[in-house]
Amino acid sequence: MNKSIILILSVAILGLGGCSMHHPQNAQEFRTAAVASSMASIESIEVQRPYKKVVKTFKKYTDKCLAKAYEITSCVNGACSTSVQTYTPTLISTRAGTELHLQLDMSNAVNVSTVSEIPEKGMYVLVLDAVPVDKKTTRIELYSGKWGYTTIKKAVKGWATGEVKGCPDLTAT
Amino acid sequence: MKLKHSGWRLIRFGLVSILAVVAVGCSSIKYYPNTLHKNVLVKVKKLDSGSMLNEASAHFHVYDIDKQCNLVHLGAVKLDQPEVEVGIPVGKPVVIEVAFGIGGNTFSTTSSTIRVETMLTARKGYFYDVSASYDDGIYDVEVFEKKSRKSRGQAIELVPSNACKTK
Repeated sequence: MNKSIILILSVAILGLGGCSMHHPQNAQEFRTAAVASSMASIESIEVQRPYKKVVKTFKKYTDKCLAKAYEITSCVNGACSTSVQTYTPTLISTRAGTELHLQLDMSNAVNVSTVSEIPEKGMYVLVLDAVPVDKKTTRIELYSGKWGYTTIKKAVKGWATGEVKGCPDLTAT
Repeated sequence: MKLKHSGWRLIRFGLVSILAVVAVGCSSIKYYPNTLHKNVLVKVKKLDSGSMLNEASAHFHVYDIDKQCNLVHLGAVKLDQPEVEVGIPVGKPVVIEVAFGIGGNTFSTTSSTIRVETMLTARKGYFYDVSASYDDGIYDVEVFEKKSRKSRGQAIELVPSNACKTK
């Protein structure tokens, strides 16, 4: 089991869950926990792209890039272990706004102890909200842990701006 | 101190074993013979892990796929040049796959492989461009079908092998 992943999980649990050790059970709880935590990151950006284009890009990449399961092999002092990480994205889109949720299930991983109930599709990794500002501008709000998942965050922001044309390597934290 | 004959034999056996391991390599990748007419051009646009501690590598794999949707690995070609020509079977479904390997060197403690595959039935007289890139955690693979080597061709939607239906 990758130590950095354990660390990130711990931070996520402590930071977003708070001392009560409660995992957010839905996207709204994740947003609320992020607002209340100093360990969370909330980024708000406005991109100069029409809302429809932004949504089209999210629809193009969300399932293709984020609905993935990976085997991660980690070796420390010659001892190797393998775990499976399963990412599940959810994209909810209306004319008024779009939400992208990303959950990570590591239930088969060793050395990860569950301290509170984890949602069925795994812990929330990030929640992104996109809303139209005017015909040419879209506002993005990205809720996530302060550390880790930098590649995923880079990708989803890049999809919004149109600067990233590809998928994030979900194994790269 | 003089070594006895059996001692020298043991040392020789050890050296030969080490050489054999080095020659075969630690990886168990089966190499693709690549003897068919070259109808696929794999273009590696960028291959950069974004970290000094992790190496990025890429391979192009070819699999046979039978009517029961079983995959048989025909082998892999290492993508160590900006452009690599590969010949794949024509007129029968195969699965082609670009595998990006990250890490796994002396200094990294983790290794991972990102695989992007598609089922494809190559048409006689057609050419296929596979564009692959891995740049600091962002990867992209696109496949184009074209009638001549020089045309840009048409992008093909990637169809994963788990979408295969038994006949």
